[in-house]
Amino acid sequence: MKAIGLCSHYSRQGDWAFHYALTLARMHDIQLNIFHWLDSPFRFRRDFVYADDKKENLVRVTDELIAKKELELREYYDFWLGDFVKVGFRLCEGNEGAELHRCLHRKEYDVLVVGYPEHGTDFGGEPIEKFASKFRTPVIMVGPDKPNSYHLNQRAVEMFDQLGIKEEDWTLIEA
Amino acid sequence: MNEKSINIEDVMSLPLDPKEQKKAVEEKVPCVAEGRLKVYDPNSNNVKKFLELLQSRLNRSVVGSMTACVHCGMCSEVCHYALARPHDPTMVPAYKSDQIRSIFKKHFDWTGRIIPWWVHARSPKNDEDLNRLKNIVFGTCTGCRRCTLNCPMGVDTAILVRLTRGLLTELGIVPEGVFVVSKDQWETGNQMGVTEEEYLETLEWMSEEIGEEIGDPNFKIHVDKEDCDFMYTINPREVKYDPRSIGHAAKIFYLAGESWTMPRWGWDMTNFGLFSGDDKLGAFVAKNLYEAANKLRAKRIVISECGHGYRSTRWEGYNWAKYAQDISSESVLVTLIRYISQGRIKVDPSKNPLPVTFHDSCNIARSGDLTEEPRWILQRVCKDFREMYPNRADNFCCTGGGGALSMVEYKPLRMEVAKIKAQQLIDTGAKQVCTICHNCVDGLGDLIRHYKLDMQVVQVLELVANALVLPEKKEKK
Repeated sequence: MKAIGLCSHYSRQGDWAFHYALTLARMHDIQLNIFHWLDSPFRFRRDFVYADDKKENLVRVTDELIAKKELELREYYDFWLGDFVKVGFRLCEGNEGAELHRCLHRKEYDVLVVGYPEHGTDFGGEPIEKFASKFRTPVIMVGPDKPNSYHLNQRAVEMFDQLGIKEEDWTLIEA
Repeated sequence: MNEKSINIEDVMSLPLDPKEQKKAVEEKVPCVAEGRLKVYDPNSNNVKKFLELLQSRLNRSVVGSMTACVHCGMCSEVCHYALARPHDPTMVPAYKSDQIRSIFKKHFDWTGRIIPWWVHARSPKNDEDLNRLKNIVFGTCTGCRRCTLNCPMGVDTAILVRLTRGLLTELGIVPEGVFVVSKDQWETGNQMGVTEEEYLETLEWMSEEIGEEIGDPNFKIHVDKEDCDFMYTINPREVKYDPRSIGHAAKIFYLAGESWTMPRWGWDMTNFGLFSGDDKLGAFVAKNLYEAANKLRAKRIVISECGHGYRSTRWEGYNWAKYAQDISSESVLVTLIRYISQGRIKVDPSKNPLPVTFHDSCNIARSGDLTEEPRWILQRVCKDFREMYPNRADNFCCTGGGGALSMVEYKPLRMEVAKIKAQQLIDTGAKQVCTICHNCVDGLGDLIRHYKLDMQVVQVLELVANALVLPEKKEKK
């Protein structure tokens, strides 16, 4: 394990996922890269994105907005990070699945942690379980009901002994 | 399906938003600085320029459609805008084309000089009138050409809409999205502003993934390989949002034992010039692709799944670019049929068990005459294929055609009129709707979300790749 990727989401499950990812990063003393999406309902208009995770209002993408969103992201996690400095932040655009594959290809992480808001949540245009089960690297989904509920894809199961998860706390993700 | 009808005056009066234009001028974006892409100049005599441009663009087919309309109203019976808003006369295709027709009659037709009141000849007075025209031709028509097929006089309303869009594009009086996408295509050679690095990296990633799947670590998507049987061209959406579709194609080509390549430059077969009416942009994009194929000495150009890309690359592009059609081109559907019929790939329909229907893309079916090919394939790779009615050349637009997906300001109207398409989808009882156009994927996806339909959009390449029977020895590896 060389680096952990976290798909950030400002929600209860997103926070649980972060805490697990941070614990894992500390445990192995490796880099934690936090990805956050500027999500747009439009394919051709990268200049408009949703204002927040509720996806109700749209805002125009400007240099100021990018700076604001990045600051927001850093500030959101800063307190919890404490003295842990091996952390990177990245604002992403476009399809989550495609972008995560791209980051994986660039070797920005080799274990992925995501919050699991609810069964069947859309992730990159498909149910999150389907995405996770076929993803090319170990994926750990955290949630949806409690922080110590972990859902692992087959690749994560293969390296279970390095994940710091108790035997009774995990299940295999089946799409 | 009881969608609240929006007030059309809100659409017609949408103002010109020049923020992106101003930004491009400030940033000295080359296509703008060099005058290839025009920006709005409020101090210019835009009406005069508009009339001069109109005069320069008149040709036989345009004048034919300008003069032949007898206002019989047949077009209103087939347009999804008119059918969804029967109370609204501004949705009738003849009304939309009359906006440019009346200007033509005023300035270039004898009837307008002799009996102007009879033929409603009139001239735009100011930029506000041109802006209203912009909202009509960009916001209330997807250029699907369904009305053309139903016109007893052969009036091609889409030609007039495209012509008018082109004139307004020359004046910078365009929806902001049209400007943004045109700028991206001028600057990067593709509609979505995909960088070369991003493109090559995606191909590399897909090579690794497919290599792993088929058990061949040496598998590679070749870039700029010369003397191949074909050069494969794609929609930038495939790189940006759906790289798996490149993977599906690569996997199929590999199993068919194909010799193929993708170009480093000139890989985008979509062409926003078709939507914006900008023939110069159309020529630039098409020429990039044709020159790439020539440079690589490809025997053929294979066009991935895209409606307007197919139409632009196969036909229109040669006219815009004034380029000799010396390399044949085909839709990837034809390539797939060849593989299946020659036994180069084996497919098992039980691998696609869900009921699937097919949505004909306007530019491929109505304007491209590829109607039986997708059905031939789907009947072999799906267990339960069912038709949608009406279909083939009579099918309704996905509502995302004509560049509509880039014009966010018109989305509420687009979603309202999408109820026609939504009902068509519901009536099939299918769980999947298959299409051969990335634009339709997004158009259908939008309306499926909006009307909360229990349906998923899939594509032919995806279903064929799902149905593939891998040779025994490769599975063992």
